Amino acid sequence: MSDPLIDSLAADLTPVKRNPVGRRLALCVIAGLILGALVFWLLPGRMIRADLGNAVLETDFWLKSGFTAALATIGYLSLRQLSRPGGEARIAVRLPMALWLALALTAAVSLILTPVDNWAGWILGSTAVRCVTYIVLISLPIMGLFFIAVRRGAPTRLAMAGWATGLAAGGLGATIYGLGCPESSVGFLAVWYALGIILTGLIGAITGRHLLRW
Amino acid sequence: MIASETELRAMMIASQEGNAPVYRRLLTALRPRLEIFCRRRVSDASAAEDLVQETLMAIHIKRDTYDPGQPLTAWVYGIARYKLIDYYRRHRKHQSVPLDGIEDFLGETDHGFAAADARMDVGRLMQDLPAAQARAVQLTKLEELSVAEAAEQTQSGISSVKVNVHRGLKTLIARFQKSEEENV
Repeated sequence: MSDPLIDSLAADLTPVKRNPVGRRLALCVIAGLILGALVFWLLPGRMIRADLGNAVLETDFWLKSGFTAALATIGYLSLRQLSRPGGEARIAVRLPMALWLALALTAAVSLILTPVDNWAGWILGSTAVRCVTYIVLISLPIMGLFFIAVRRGAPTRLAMAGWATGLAAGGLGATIYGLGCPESSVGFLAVWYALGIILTGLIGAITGRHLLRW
Repeated sequence: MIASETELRAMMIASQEGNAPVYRRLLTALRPRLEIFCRRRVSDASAAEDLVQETLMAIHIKRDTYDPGQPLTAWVYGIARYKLIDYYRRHRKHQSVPLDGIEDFLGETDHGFAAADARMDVGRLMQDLPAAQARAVQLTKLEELSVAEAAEQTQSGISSVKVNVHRGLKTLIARFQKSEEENV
């Protein structure tokens, strides 16, 4: 028995490239870092911390960059699964939560060691609102790039894929922003950086349901 | 003859390399399973057939997204479910679509799609599940009672039936995958 549809599909068959989904996503990370840096450069009041040379010697700086880069990595690894039909990524929600909890605990411990009078400054810093806004603003264009790559795959869990996209983009954006941000307290990181990345993730989850359709 | 997951996967890998005769066989093997999947969920026969064709086309267009390291049935199912949800969305029907693909995968076993993997003997795999879980899976998945009916039969709460089904299926799937690996 011959099926005309199957006949025509078989006639149209050409070999496929190896793992195009993975390659497009990897390309996105590189392009995203460049685009993010460019956006950061163009935003008003940009600053690269003057003491960046010294900061790279401090644990706080690496804790900050490590946290944001880890979230980006989790988002990226999740996308490698979620960009394919039937792909699942349990790590996309649980691992960021676990990381954040660890960070929040560390922050709580340092908070106890900080005199009460300094608490407000320690958590709020002097650039809280700016931090959240900038992280989101830098991340959104990166998220756009990732959306294109994910959509050219075939995501079937759109909200989850959108969340992972936002996580990857938010993590990258926050890592870029972190190079210029003078704040380094763990409390600031646990509240404002986390908030910026989570917001980006939520924007990704909400818009992904529509934008990721194929 | 119903091809097993292992055979289907090998066929898909050959298809990705451009082997058209194997690809034709693969699509021919998938078609009846997709028909069963769609007919069970869409009452209108011609709409179900449209859905089958759309799914076959999506399989074709997106064939480069299949990762040979992953199960093919999960990939095909992912596409079929996506197309189904799309169909529901277009027709604004508020039917519930099971989102947990794994339960779907097992539930379908009796009826065709993955009957492929008939080497799996559900009874054998189930016999050393805790009694409450085995019973809950038996009633809701094999005898196709609703959760409420199953709760009544076992004289337990609805949520405890749900929990038992969920845990039972989880264990079964882990075992199923293990026995698959041993068979490969």
